[in-house]
Formats: sequence, structure tokens, C-alpha cells
Amino acid sequence: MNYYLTILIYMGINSILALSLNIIVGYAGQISLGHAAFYGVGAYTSALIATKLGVSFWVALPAAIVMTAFIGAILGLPSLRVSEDFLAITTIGINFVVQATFKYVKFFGGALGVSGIPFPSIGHHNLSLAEFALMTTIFTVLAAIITYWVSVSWIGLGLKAVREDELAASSSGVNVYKFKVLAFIIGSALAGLAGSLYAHFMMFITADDFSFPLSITILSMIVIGGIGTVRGAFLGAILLTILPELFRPLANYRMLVYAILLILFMRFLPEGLIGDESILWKKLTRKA
Amino acid sequence: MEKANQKSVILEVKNVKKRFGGIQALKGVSVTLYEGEILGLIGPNGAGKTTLFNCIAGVYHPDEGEILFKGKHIEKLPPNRIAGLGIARTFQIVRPFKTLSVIKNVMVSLGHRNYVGYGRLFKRPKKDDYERAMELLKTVGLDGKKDEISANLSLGELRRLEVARALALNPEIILLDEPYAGLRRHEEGRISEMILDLKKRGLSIIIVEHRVRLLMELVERVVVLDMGKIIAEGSPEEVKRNPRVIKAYLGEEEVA
Amino acid sequence: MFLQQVINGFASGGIYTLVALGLTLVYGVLKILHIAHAGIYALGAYLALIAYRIYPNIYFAFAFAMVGTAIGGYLVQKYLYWPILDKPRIVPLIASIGLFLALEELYRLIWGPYVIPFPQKFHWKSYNLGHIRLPGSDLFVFALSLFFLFILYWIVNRTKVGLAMRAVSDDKEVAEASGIDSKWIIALSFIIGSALAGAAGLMVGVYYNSIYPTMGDVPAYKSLAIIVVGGMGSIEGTVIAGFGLGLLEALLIGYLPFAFPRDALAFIAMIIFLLIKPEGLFSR
Ligand SMILES: Nc1ncnc2c1ncn2[C@@H]1O[C@H](COP(=O)(O)OP(=O)(O)OP(=O)(O)O)[C@@H](O)[C@H]1O
Ligand SMILES: [Mg+2]
Repeated sequence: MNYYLTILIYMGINSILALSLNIIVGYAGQISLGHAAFYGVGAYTSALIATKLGVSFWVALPAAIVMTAFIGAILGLPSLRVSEDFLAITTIGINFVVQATFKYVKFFGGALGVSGIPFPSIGHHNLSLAEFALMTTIFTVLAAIITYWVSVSWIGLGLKAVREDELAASSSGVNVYKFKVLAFIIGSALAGLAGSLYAHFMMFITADDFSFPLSITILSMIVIGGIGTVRGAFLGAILLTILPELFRPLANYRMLVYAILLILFMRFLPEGLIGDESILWKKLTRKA
Repeated sequence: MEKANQKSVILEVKNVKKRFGGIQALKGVSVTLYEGEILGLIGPNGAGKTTLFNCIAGVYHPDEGEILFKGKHIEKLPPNRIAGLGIARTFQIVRPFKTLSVIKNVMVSLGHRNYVGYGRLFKRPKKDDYERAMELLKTVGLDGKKDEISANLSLGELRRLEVARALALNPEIILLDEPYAGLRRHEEGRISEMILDLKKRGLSIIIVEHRVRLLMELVERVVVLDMGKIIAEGSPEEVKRNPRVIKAYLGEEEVA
Repeated sequence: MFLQQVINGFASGGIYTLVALGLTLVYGVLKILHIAHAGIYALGAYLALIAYRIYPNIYFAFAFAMVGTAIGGYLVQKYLYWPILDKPRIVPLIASIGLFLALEELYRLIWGPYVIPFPQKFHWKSYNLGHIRLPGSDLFVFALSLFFLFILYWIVNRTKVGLAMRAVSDDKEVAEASGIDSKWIIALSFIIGSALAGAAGLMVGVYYNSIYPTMGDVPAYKSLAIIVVGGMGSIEGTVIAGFGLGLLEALLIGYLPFAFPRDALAFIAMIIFLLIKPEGLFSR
């Protein structure tokens, strides 16, 4: 039971990550290969506030969200100066630099990471695993509602215009700078939420939990599911959480299988399993 | 009431200069656009026509000179602000939002007021907005394709989509950059009809075009740009016979 | 001490440059970030290992590694990149990262996760220049990189093929219109770039006397930083940025008052540089 609850929690956290990256990459079209950095900022903020100031999870969580949104706005600034491939590489760089900062600066706990992060509690009652899973699920649904809302409101339309053509978007009245930064802010804030949940669930974090390969994994979730859609981000996150578990007997080949899947998807199904342009989704929606 | 005076100036470009590295694309260009008129802007390849549009639309900021829209300085404003003020444009090389449907393309522009500030950003488009978008698509004859992904449209349809997108800004001025380029004869006729219709609605229009022939029945006044300078101005007939214009076009496929 | 750092910097700079040049060539003609290039680099080291076990001769090992990686590069562009060129840019990018991961995993499964020393220890002579000691290994690496750089320079600037390569990277459509077979030129860029990476892999294997599955990680990220600073597709820019990074690291690592990993340093340098000059050294 505990095993399944843990998987459920991971699924929730990964879904939030996928949904949040989807705003930056899927809606706004800003290739970000460093999303784990934002996740890490959220986790570290929450962990450090909780351990150093002794505040509860319920204070640390919103603080982490605000902090990550702020850092997201700053780290999103390069997207105003550099584009596409330059941005892709810059975001890889940001991931490395953020991770190295956590790892080599004493304040962040150095190589030992941060331990003793309190598990969430209400009054004197420590949440049970099931309660934590429920809470994570609620946050996940909330994140889904937020990202869905972003996608169907005016901001979503503006973001998609920026993704397709910045010049045409600005000629249509879209303030490209503002929209890009907003995408980074909203996306980072949600990643901060995921980070905080992760930190208080694990109760122990190190810099290596937020390395570049994780960024690729998150990106893979939205690409495999179907980029730019809420359903795709969910499906991708769930698949990439469960698959490694299913492959556990083949632990030695896990990464290889995963990497080959990634290649095959890009080669033969780049629109994802249930993206707007995927065969499966077109069939499903035509019948309905 | 305001429209009563045919001769009132709506846009004034004064001595605009723009340089790209070693190329002086505009060498002090002055153009006046009157309310409700269609102005033709012609000139050979590389004359600076698109650059002038880009300066008016805020894509580039002139190195020198001023641009006044209804008496207000706009030469330092970014494109989205200028679009919001009521100057819309189309692109010489069409720039649709490729993966969005035709109606969504128009919706993007239709939402321009909601992109200002933060309050309306998170509101959803309403039924009125869709109806307005459909109206605009009807104006350009694309209502039958509203759910088509815009990447699937023909060039002629894309040019009309760009006009619908421009109109969605509810503009007072519309800048059309070679709306006929690459079109077949029967499509040319369609575009001309559409432009005359825009004029009837009271819009002020500048059309860039290589060939004076196409502008004959549309415009009263033509400005000729060559190597970043205005070399002639007048009715299409006058301009066609102007020796400086003929000389500028020497070696080009056609003047008329 | 200082000069020795400089020489060390030139040696590692030479290797960075060789790897990054492959990326530059590929980016020039295809405009995709070929991250798996670093996997090809590690392949070069492993192929050299195999070759050396068959016939222990360093020239044979070089030939074997370079031919093998060239074929590898050719296959990658033909079967992976070519079919997805018209997809959104993120598609080939992720495919490339996937391939890189897959290659590293394959090496791990085939050759094991541990460090394999090169079968032969080379006994480098040191040369003395006044009272400065020039380590032979550094000189060997530096001289070889110069040699390969020179060959590349010659190909790109003095041959018809090189002219065609430059034409394709300037403007593919125009190049095709003037009768250049861009498909072949792209393939050739991959072949040349991969062979260079293979040579670099071998050189590093010999220089550090260690070959391991993830040896491509650091060069992968560094060469990305290098081509960005170089201006994305500019050969001159890549050479300057590559040697520049090698020198910068050698000097900083020697004098930095705190520990900070080398790859993060490369990226910090890159980010600072980009904020000042977002289009790189030699943009086009
Ligand atoms: N962004 C830019 N950077 C550098 N040079 C530019 C840029 N935009 C325009 N130019 C140069 O400015 C000059 C004018 O170009 P412009 O596009 O305005 O001409 P045009 O009259 O629209 O020509 P065409 O009829 O071919 O569309 C040309 O020499 C062009 O190469
Ligand atoms: Mg033009």
C-alpha cells in the first residue's frame, strides 16, 4: 500500500512539473532545458526556510512558490535577449550553475544537502502517507486547473502567438517581453510548488536531485504525452513515473530503454501520444 | 463628424532615416497620409519600402526623424503599442500563427486590449469575441475555413487572413506590404475588391507594390521610393511617365 | 607555474576545440544542436581501445577510431536527423539528447561502468625551455589538435567541398539552386565532424589514460557553451572560444580561492558573455 501511495505522490509531483514546463515550452514556445533548476529552487527554499527558521510546511510552501516565481522571472530574462538554440543552451547552463551553487555553497548545505526537513503536519498531527498523497493530488488538480485556465484565456492565446511568431504577435498587440516573462513566472511558481512538496516528502534533499537529466525527463514527459496540452502533460508524467517501476526487474537496462523510447518517439511520433496533431487524438475527437 | 474633412492628416512621417550596418536603407523620408485615403508606395527592390513600414509599425526605431499619428509621436513606441493605437499591418512574407486555426489567428489580434495590464489577461474570450472574429472572417471570405489550421491555407488565403487579423485591431490605418505578391490574376481581383471595401469603411491605407498597374484603379496618389529617398509623388499616371521613376526601374521587369 | 598552466590550457583547449568544431560544422549545415556528438567522441575512445587490442599501433588506432566514428556520424544523420528536419526544433534536439543517453548506456553495458586505462602507457618526455618544463603529453595533444585544425581549415577554405559546405551553411536554398547537392554536403559535414570527435576521444583517452562511458558528459556541455560563445556555426569563433575556455579554466582552477566544478564555470563564463554579446563572437 505504502508503495502505491508513494508512486501516486511521485506521479502528482511529476505531473505538476510537466504541467508547469508545458507553460514555458508548450504554450510560450521557449525551449527550456533547465526546468529542474526551478524545481530545485522551490525545494531548497522550502527546505531551508523550514529547517533554519523552523517554520511549518504551510508557511514554507507559499514562500517557496513566491521565491521560485521570482527566480523564474530573473532566469527567464535571457529569453528576452537570446532565442531558440541559444536559449536552449543557456537554460542547460542555468541548470548546471544552479545545481553547482547548491552543491558547493555552504549556505545550501553543500554536498551533504539539507536534511531534517519536517514532514507536513496539522497541529500536532503529522500527516499520514495517505493524507500526503491526497494533498499532493489536490495540488496536482489545482495545477491542472491553473494551466488549463491559462491555455484557454487571453494570456494563453497571446503566449501561443508568441510561440508561433514573435513579430506577428507584437504586431497583433502582444507585448512579447511581458508574455515571455509571465510564462516563466507561472511555470516556475508551479515548479516551486512541486519542489516544496518533494522536499517535505523526502525530508532530505541534495543538489543532485535537480540535475540536468531530470530536466530532460520532465521535457520528455510533455513531448511524449503531446506538447502544449494538459492531457498530454498528465499522460506523459504518469507514463514516465510508472514505466521505470515496471522496468525495475530490468533495472540495468532501464535508462537504455528509456533513451531508445525517446529516440523512437521523436523519430516516429513527435506529436506525442495524444497531442493535438497525433493520430490517436484526431481519431478520438472525430468520433466524439 | 471627424471624417467630414477629407484632407485632415492622420499619419505624418518626417525626415526618417534608418541605417543597417553599412546600408542606409532610409535617407530622410517624409510621407503624409490623409484620413480615408489609399496611398500607393512603390519602388524597386531594396528601395526601403518594407523598412519604412517597419519604422511606422515600431519594429525598427528610426535613427533620426519623427513619426506622428494624429499628432502624437510614435517613433519610439514598441510594435504592440502602435498596434493598440490603431495602426495595423500585414507582412510582405506572410506570417500566420501556423499551428493555430484561422479563427484563433484573428482572435489573437482581437484580444489586443486584454493584453494590457493584468486584469483581463486571465479572462476567457466571450461569445461576442467569436462572433466578431467570424464577422471579420466573412469580410475577407474565409468564414468557411474558420477551423482550418492556418498552415494549410493557400498564399492568397493567408494574405486575406492577415488582413482579417489586422482589422481585428480595429485600426484607423492599415499598412499592406505587397498584398498581391505571388498571387494569381483572379486572386488579385479579390484583394483589390477587399481593399476598396476597407476604404469604404473609412480606413486610411498605404499599399506597397512594385507594379503601378495594380494600383491604377485603387489609389489617387502614389509615392515613389528609390534607394531610401522619395523621388516622385503624384497620380499613378503622372508617376508612370516620370523619367526619374522610369530610370529607377530600369532593369526591373516592369514599371507599369 | 603560470606558464605551465597556460600550456595545460592550450592542450585542453585544443581538445575542446576539436569536439566543438564537429558541433559547429553540423550546426552550420543543419541548424540542429547535435548533443549526441559527445557520444561519438566517447565512441572514438572505445574504438581506439578495440583497435589497440587487435593491433597495438597508435596510428592504426587513430585510423580505426576516426573511420568508425565517421561511419557512426553518417548513420546518425541519415537515419535519425534527416527524417525529422522539418519538425519543430525541439524534436531533433530531444532526439539528439536521447541518442546521447542511449550511447552512454550502451557503452556502460558493453564495456562496464568503470574506467578502463589505455592499454599502453606512453612515456612522455618533457622538454625544458629555459626553466619552464613542457610536459610531452600536453605538447602531443596540442600539436595533434593543431594538425587536425589545419586539415579542417584546409578543407573548408581551400577545397571545392569546403566551399560547398560554407555555401550550404550560409543559405541552403541558394546553395541548392546553384547546383550543390546539399544532402551530400550535410552527410560530409557529419563525417568530418565525427571523425574529429573520434580523434579527440582517442587523444583524451590517451592523455588522461582513462576511458569510461560518461566521458562525453563534460565535453558535451562545454562544447555547447563554446559554440554559443563562438557565434553558433562560425568556425573561427569556435576555435577562439575553444582555446579561450581551455585557458580560462586552467588559469581559474589554479587560482580560484574556492572549489567550483569546471563545467559550471564554463557555463557561467558563457552566460556572462551572452548577456554582453547575445549573438556570440562571430555571428552571421
Ligand atoms: N534587418 C535588416 N538588416 C540589414 N539590412 C536590412 C534589414 N532590413 C532591410 N535591410 C536592407 O535595407 C534595404 C531596404 O530593404 P527593404 O526591405 O526595406 O526594401 P523593399 O523596398 O521593401 O524591397 P522589396 O521590394 O524587395 O521588398 C535593403 O538593402 C535591405 O537589404
Ligand atoms: Mg519589401
